[in-house]
Amino acid sequence: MSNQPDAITDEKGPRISRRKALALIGLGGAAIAAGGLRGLLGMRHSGAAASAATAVKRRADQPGKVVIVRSPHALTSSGEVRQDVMKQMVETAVCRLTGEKDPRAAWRRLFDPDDVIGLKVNCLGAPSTRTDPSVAMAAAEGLRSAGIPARNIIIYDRLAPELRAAGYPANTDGMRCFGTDEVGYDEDVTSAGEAASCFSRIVSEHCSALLNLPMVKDHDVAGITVSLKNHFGSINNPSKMHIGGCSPYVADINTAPAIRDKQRLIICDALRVVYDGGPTFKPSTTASYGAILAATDPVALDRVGWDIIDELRQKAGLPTLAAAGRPPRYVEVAADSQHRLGIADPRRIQRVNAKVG
Amino acid sequence: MRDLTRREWLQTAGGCLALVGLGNAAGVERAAFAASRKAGGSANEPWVRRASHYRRLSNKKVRCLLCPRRCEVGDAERGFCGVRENRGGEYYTLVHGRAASVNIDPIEKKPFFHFTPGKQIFSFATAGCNLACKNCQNWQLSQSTAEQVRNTYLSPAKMVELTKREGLSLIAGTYTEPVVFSEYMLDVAREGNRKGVRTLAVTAGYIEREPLIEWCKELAAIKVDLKSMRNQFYRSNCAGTLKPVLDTIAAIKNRGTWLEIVYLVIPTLNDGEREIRDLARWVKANVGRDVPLHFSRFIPTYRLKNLPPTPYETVDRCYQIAHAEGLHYVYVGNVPDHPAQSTICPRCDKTVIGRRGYEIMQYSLKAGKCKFCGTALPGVWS
Repeated sequence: MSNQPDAITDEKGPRISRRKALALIGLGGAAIAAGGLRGLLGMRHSGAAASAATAVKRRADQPGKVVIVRSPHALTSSGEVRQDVMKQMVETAVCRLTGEKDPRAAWRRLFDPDDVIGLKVNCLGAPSTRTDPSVAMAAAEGLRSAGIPARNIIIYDRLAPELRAAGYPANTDGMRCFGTDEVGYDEDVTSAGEAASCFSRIVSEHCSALLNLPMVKDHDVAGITVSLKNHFGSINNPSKMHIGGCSPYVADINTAPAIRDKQRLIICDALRVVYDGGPTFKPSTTASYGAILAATDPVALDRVGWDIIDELRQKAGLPTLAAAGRPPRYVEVAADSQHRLGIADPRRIQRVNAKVG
Repeated sequence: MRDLTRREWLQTAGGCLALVGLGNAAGVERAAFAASRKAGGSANEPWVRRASHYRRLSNKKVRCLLCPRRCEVGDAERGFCGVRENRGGEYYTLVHGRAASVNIDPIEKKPFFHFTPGKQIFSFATAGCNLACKNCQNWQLSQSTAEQVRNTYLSPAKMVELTKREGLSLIAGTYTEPVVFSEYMLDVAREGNRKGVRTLAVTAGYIEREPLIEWCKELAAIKVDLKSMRNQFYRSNCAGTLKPVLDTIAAIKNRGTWLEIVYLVIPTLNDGEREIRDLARWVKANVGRDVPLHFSRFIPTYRLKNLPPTPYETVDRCYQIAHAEGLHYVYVGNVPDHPAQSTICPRCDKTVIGRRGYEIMQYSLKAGKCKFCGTALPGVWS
């Protein structure tokens, strides 16, 4: 017996799913909205573009290198981020990471002018805590300076309402910003190790490259959430992967081609760090850190993020994550021979410190 | 399963839209919205209700007590099921009234073979599941959140009203996993019990004892998908464990709610002779030989597309083992025209309910007794 809702058959055409049929008749209007948006974007990632993208990724890779840029002037006395300072911080970060002196040359090493680039921000906990829009805007400005048209830049996260609450308008000077709830997920599931998910169409279809813009936060289940776990916001079923400290799921998801082959750069917002009680905002355990981190290696960057959280925890008299019984095990898993996503061994991580202002 | 043409489907969808339109204007819907607000929901989110089984923890965390997973959920996070959310230290279901699938099916499709054979049953589901079976045939719904699928707001009162309007007297929480929409299904059952409509559940049985007792009080029958007799299978294929499911099956039987068991036979994963024998012996020893046991044939889907469909001979062998172990009512599903779709009187060995697919071809029971020898057959026959 097959206890499924009945499927729908087109007498003259191929079998269509109920989901497709619903989309056809536009029940609720959402399908029309989504279709319209996809049509408006008019950009799909082709196979040829994929191989070119992989070549750029190889050119840009800096295994084990993490740049930490600080500025004492990044935040105003009222806690606002100074956009001019952030622009300098981001430029410094990409230059020090790539070894280029000119920020435009640095961006061009990382992205091609015909790339369609998804900027994955983190809005869980908005408006109190989120990837600060100043970081995303500075990154977008850098991309545009390298000749990438505004229409090829997409800021995204899971849900449009969360993006809006976080301070990301739908359209900024031609750059678009939308949630996966507006365009949907892949119809087919992608298996990667133990994980199986449908990816956001923004990742799988619209974008040829990804720029990951996470934050540094403590996470009550995973230990930390920095760059690797930020892609739980690129899939349909993150709640299914919050078991076993999210390991190996965080590492597994990042091995899927939609992420591994497309992610070129990570710029991490460490202006304020939630060092306990995360991932939502806890004012009593959020510290001003005044830095951004940049890397192409997500594992090395997460290892540095982990150290920052432990440093702040120790300053506050709290046990380290390991002592608290929730070390982020997935960081080392991501570096193992099955995943090979980067370098987790602190002795092999090259930390480059820089200061602006 | 009958396929609809595009035209038929559009007509059906149009009908549903009309019903939804009617529903929104109806008093019952207004009452539902008011009840939702009282229970923690809002006018914008009438499907949000305070969850029935959880405990508050420190730092605004909660512990869900609905299923054996017992998720510890931080503020603004969701449980494994994806349809329950911690909002500021209180736990909420996000799918009360948020139906993602609504159909009218033959009851044989569930399958229930000893519960009012030949009846049609109003069937519904929401998004979400507390397991993650690699062979899930409804994974597009079960492995999604409510926001990722299309939903129709259908309050319990409206669902019962629609059921009666269709001339039906049965409702099933099915397709995905009623555990994750337990509050919704129970409110449907309570409303139905007042109006002469019985509610049934089709579940994997991964539920804690306290909510299960609530189910047994309100539901007329429960079908449990027992997925394997090996804990390792539950761990690797379903992200669950075996013991709670066996406990559920035994508890349902002990409380007198009508019970049927389905076992999906998956090649190489749970079809070993010893495992099938263990299954049959466990059923006989713990719930008795009169509980119907359905062996269903696996069709490759979702994450198990690398396996072939279950060979007919394998399902036959399962049937033979269970029969030889002394179970009275062993059935075979997903095999066209298999003789073990029919109910045989264990005393006189004659066919008392002849089935072909979901159709009843012969009915030789009178007041629940075999027409030929007068033996009473276990079940709910009217």
